[in-house]
Amino acid sequence: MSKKIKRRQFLAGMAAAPAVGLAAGATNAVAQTQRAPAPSVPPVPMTDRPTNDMPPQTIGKTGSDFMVDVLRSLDIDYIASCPGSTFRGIHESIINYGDNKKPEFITTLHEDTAAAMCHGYYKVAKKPMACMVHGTVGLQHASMAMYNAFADRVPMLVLTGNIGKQETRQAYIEWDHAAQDQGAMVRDFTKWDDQPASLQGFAESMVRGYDMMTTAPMAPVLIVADGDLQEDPIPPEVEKKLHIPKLKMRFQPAGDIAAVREAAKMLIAAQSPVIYTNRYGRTENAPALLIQLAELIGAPVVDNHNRMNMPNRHPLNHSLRREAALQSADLILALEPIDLFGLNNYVPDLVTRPNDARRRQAGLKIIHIGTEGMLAKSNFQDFQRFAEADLSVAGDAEATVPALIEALKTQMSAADRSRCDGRCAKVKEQSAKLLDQFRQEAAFQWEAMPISSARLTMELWDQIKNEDWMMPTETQFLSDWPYRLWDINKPYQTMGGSGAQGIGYNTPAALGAALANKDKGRLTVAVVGDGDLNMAPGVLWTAAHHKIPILYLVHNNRSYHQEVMMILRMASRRQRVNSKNVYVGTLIDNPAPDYAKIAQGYGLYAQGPLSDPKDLAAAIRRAIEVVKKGEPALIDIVSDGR
Amino acid sequence: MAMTMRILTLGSALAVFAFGAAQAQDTPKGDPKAGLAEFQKLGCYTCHGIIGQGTLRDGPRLNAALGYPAVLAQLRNPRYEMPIYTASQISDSGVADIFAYLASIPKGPDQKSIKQLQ
Repeated sequence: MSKKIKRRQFLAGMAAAPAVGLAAGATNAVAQTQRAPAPSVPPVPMTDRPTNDMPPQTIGKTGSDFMVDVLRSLDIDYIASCPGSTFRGIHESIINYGDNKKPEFITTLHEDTAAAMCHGYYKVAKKPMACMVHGTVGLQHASMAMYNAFADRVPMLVLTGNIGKQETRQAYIEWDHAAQDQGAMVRDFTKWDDQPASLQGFAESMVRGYDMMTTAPMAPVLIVADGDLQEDPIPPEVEKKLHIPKLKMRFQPAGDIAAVREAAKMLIAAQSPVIYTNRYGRTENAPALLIQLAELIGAPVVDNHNRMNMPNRHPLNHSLRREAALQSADLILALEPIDLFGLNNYVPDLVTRPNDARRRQAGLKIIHIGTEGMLAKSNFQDFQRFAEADLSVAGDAEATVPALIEALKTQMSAADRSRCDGRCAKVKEQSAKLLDQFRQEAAFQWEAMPISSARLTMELWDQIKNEDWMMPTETQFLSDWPYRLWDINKPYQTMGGSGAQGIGYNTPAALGAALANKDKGRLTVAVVGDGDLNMAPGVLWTAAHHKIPILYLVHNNRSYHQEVMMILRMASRRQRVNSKNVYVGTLIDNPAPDYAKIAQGYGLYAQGPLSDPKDLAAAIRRAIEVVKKGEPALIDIVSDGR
Repeated sequence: MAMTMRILTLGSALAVFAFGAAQAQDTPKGDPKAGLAEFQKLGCYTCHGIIGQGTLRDGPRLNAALGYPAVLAQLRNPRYEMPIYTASQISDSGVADIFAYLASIPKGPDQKSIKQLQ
């Protein structure tokens, strides 16, 4: 680095204010500076000013300008962040050098929100978004959302800043926000991290990181941008040599062809095969491929919904008679199952937590195709309990299914095809009666107060069913009513869950999804719990500030309801359920937060709290009108627990 | 207090329904209003829903057609993952009140009559 050009020279002092001799467009050279006459009245006492003779302005292209070039080369459209001084160089370059376009700076009020937005965005856009978090403190804030994404095998590009050189750190705060190894904080749940020491190293690490995180199994990547590298001008001799590597075309790792042929052989021999999917759907091609496979072998599909795997009303989708389907299986083909052990075993929530096997056919065979074993860290236990399989194929399931279909077609005889076709017809008949049964269950709770999850869900459905909609939020706390009664048939309409069940995922991840949907013109509808919303209510401000259209329905059961059940269960086991204290710590009540007012305070159109189910339809209609105009809206709905 | 507010809310819910279902002769006479209070106090609603509609993962639908003896047996000696409720937590008459509450809940409209469900 040139001795004459040191970091943060633009703050060096008014007494040394230069006359800038930079011609327009001369960004490839550091211009000469001239000394200006000292003002007659210095703005600060002379003794407080630095004594170095460095010019007070940065001239020419800066390191962080180049970093923005790198972000652009990776096709990063958005970077979510709340500001922090460790990355002020990149921040300034994004908004001024880059004119706040590609990437556009999305302002958030918490780093967890920034990271969770990346999570939701990827699942819709199918390409990564970036977030930028403050050194040490911001990265710790972002860490839960990063862990969720890691457990969900979703990529995001996380940037943080660090003032690496001790002698250039300002006293006190910059020491608090610097680390010898920023990546250590999150290394247990990132796929890779790096702290490059040069601009060329930064470019290569960014491209390498992008390549790694978007190759299955995917996960977040952290790149640490050194403060001096960001803030200093690029010496001309360095800039001449800078090169941003080309991002290579990527193909996902598919299973070994010999193993795939063996899987086909086993499937053809099976009498009652069942396909189980969880994190299978990586692209929008996934559902069509799965249907092709299921119809070819005449197998019901049990889907655990962690991706958009299969239309819920397809007659081969037997997810809502899960145990019945799995109990009939003599072979289970598990595609990215995540928890293969839990598919056939369970630990009931009883005293001493006994292990139990689920009822399955004797001699059940299991084929596992997935990437779970290809990315496991030692500390966090999201890899689940070890499970046996008769054939395990390491590879991305969606990338492997085409080869499996081809192998089946090659190996199946005419008799095999006839047998599978007959089975397919029978399997389709089995699911026909479920819809009416669920409708009657919903009717039973139609007038209930607090408003039932069935009523909430179906009032929403009634108003979106003719729209191009997408619902990015989890449904387990809604008793899965959308999967029971909606018609989810587009390959982008759902996107699964958080990964690690870290509460506070749904509200910001839904906004990330809405940001991607905004670019596609889709209506985003998100049902979020009050507990989830309270983890990051500032998300609402980001929605309003950036005019991201999204409808939030708050499923407001005025509690951490899962924990209400847990504590009651503990108390019942211990014969203390009559205690006056049994609800201490689990209710979000007294006072009941007014989420409509909170949302209005953040600048959203909002209604509620609604307690009468008859008010729902009109309220949702009004809110959707707002969302269609490009604004976010929220309705607070006082709801039953599940 | 939070619990009071919740019970008041449930009281409104109860008002939606008429007390109609006849109880079998071998079932102790219970008070549906007291049953709602017990249903709330013991936390039955948390897994089974406020009118016993059931939730997908946490508790099945409760139906008075099960009969009082079956409900009592499940509370005293539960199958599956349901917690135990001994007589020290709820008396037999308290169970009868809960049963009366469940029996008071109408079966709901025909799903075909609800536009939003079609």
